[in-house]
Amino acid sequence: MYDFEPVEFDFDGDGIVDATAMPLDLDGDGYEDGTAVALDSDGDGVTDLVNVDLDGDGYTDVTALDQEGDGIIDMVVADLDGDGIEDVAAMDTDHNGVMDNFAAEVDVDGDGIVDQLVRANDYDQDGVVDSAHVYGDTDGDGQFDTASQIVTEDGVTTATTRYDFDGDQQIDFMEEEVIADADGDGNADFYSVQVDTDGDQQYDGGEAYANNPETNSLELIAAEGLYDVEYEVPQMPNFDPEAADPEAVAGDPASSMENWEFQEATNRCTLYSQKFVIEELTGEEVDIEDFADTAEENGWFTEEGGATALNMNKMLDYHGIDNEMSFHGQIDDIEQCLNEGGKVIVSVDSGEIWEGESDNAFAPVDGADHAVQVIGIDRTDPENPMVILNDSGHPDGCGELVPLDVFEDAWADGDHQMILCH
Amino acid sequence: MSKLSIRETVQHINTHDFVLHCNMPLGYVPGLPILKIIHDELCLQVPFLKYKVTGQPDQTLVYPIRYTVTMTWPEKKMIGFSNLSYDPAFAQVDFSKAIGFFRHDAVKHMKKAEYRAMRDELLDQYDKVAAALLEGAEYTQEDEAHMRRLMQIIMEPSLYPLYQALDQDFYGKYLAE
Repeated sequence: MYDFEPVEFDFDGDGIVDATAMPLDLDGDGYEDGTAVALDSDGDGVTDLVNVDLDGDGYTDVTALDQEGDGIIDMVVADLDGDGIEDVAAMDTDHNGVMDNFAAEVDVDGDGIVDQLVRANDYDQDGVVDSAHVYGDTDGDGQFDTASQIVTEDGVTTATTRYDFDGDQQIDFMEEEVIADADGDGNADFYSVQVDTDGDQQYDGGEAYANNPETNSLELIAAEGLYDVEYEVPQMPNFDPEAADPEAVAGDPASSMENWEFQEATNRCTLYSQKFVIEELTGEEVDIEDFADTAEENGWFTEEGGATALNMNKMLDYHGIDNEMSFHGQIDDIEQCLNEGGKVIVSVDSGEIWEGESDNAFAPVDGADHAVQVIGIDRTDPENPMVILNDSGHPDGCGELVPLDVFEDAWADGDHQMILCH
Repeated sequence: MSKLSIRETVQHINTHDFVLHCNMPLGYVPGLPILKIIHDELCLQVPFLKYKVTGQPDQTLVYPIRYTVTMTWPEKKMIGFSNLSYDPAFAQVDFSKAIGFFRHDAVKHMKKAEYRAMRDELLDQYDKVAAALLEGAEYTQEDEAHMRRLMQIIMEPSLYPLYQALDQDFYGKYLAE
């Protein structure tokens, strides 16, 4: 056990104690962990400097100073990461005993390079930081590329962050977040975010959330700009077996339509298309969640991005379905496969299927972004042949009817990719 | 060696065997390429991004460039693929969120066919630059000014910062104010 009596030093022999060393037992185990040394550096009989070695390694970790000599500590600096350089500082700028100004250098990723500089102020001296500035080096190149200002007032915290992605000292992106706790219960009542995506200092999109007392969770109450583009689900006609001449229809669309399901707001179109085919050809019901798990585990699909063109038939292979995938197919290939009792999956440009060609609403470049099952081709009206789809991406996509020429254009955007299944 | 022009190469790049094996999800399309010199060789870097047609006029959503494929020119030897979501320089980009709208102001008056024709004209200008660099073909200041003008009309402003981050020289030559 250790004797924890303080040791006093009178370096100049004037009878006045210049320093007092006090061993510290921070964890209460009866053994010394570190040491605090209080110094009277100017010999006026008042302690004005305290050095604390928290871990007993012989180096000072925290220093407290009374710069005014009034007996009140007005500055504390600390070396929290033990690299010999102070990285945190707190100051009492008005010498009233309350620290009101703070600064920190933070090495977030521990690579020895400072990634964040933090400055904060407690203007009203209530012990709560009112304003903070945070500068970040997100790409580790030694240059700060983000600057955030965080202000808290009356329970409302506003954080504005500006990003300079390319280091040209120009703002490329700006974001403002507001979080409010009006009733002071520690839970947010309101949260909003606004973004300026083109760096013109004008917010062009945003969302707002408010607390739902019934669920005690934040729920979206408003959105505007980029996040408020109303997606108009266009009405699509559906195949009616009663209205079609069976002799003029390739495939068995009426039967295939029984397997259709809506994929909701997911990226699972390639999975649903394969599921439809597997269920039709095997008669077995496929659980879409298990299906998605298997596809994801094998790296053939992600919930975030969907599937790649080359992975559109991987679940067919997994379930032992005889299939052949190719590009540059012809409509005759599809029709022949359907007439032989086969099933067909294609990739298409969904915008052209759902919206058609429009001079005011189009994309700069065409490309396939969607997979559908072709379940039939209806030539009941030879002048207006229709392709019949099981389209999981459209809420009315069961037996969706698309004019052949529109289908051809949408299919061409994916270089006529097709998977013929038998 | 294929005789395809830069425009034709870009338009058919999605089914190039190398690109098919890059595992880009469905929906990514080639943007305007970047001409660059790598180890004294002329190269074409093709960015890939997504668009989402919403059906609303001038509100086709533009998403950030997420992938690039680089090839030598004119040999078309594939030399690189990059997923920018793993590039620290793009750490702050949220690739799941749209960054702008199409049609942007400079092309709002254009119908689809007119826009596509101008985009094709711009892509044809790339071949002129390549011919000048590779064969010493004539390329005047007027040619460069014309390409710069087309580029600034065709390219969505929301993509400028990404092009700048991808290639400062290309950005400085064709897009910077």
